[in-house]
Amino acid sequence: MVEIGEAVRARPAQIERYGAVAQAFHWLIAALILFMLGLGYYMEDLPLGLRKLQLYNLHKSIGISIAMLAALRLLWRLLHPPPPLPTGMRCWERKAAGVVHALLYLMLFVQPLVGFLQSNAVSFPVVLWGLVPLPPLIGPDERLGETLLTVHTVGGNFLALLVILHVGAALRHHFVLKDDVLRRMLPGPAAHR
Amino acid sequence: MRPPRLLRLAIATLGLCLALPATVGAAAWTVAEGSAIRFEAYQQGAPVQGAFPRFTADILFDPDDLAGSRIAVEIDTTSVTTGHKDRDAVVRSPNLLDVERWPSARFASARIEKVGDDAYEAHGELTLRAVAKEVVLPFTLHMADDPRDLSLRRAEARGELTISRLDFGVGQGEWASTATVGDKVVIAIEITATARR
Repeated sequence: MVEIGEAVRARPAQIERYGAVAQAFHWLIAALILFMLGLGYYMEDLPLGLRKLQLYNLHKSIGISIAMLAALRLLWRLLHPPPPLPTGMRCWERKAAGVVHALLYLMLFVQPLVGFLQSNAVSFPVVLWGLVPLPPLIGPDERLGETLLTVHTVGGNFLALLVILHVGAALRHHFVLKDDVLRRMLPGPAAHR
Repeated sequence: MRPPRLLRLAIATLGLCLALPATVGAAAWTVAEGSAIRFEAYQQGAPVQGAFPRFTADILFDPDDLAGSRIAVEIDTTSVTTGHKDRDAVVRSPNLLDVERWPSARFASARIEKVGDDAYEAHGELTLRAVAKEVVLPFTLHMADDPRDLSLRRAEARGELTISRLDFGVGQGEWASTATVGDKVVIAIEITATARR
């Protein structure tokens, strides 16, 4: 473990990383979101057939799961506050980071909810992982369903934009500003406060 | 010259006798507003509601003359609706109801049995996609005077019948799979009808 000791010595200001659980939440939800965006754009243009029905069912189960994971993640975050942002970030940068993070969290709930309501409105059942039928929150209303589908599509585009901003900012921190913002969401030696 | 009174009476009696067969026996019922033929199919075990808004029914029914009673229903399959137009189009397509080839489905009773207070069973044949199967439609029936027209009797019938869609070929190609869309379909009838007393 000489290398790690040297690495730590070589970096006098220790990185305060997110904990393992927070990182697991982050990367799991990140992977699911990327998969869901791709799946969403792909499946919407398929002709309605068995395959589309099955992909939609998968999309619904993952979406509901993301909302549940996000709830657990927020709870975890309340109990385990994230490490502070690097000193030297300007006011607008802190604000921008805060807004994008808040909107990302918000969309983890809004997007599944709108999708769920859309399914309700066009009377397609939502059965979580094929096992647990979720009772509809609203009754059938095909026109409302069309509106909600539009909202869900716009929401998907908005979420994709937030992801691009979020990834872009992380890469800027890492490659342009050369600070530890990206590294603190990566596994590595734990920081000693 | 007018015919003698006796002859006129004889003609009137004859006329009445000719008219009578149409009015004795089981009454003819007319389906009223608020009647519906609905169905419930299952996606991943969860129910999806649909309906056939257009249908006609020939009903002769008298609880005291079940032998002379019969029910014949003709359903316009093109009218099928499930609350989502893309799904409606799939249900109408050749792999499911194939409404272009078979624009109607039929139920015709062969006999009607009383099985309890206000409870009956119509034994007959259901024809769907030109496949005819013997089925039993149990139904409850409540009859009363029509509150709006005292010359009418009003009946409300409710019944449910479970079928296997694949028995009727409703599920060709990929839809023959029951992994996502189940084989079971529950058909529900809610008929309100009126008849002359």
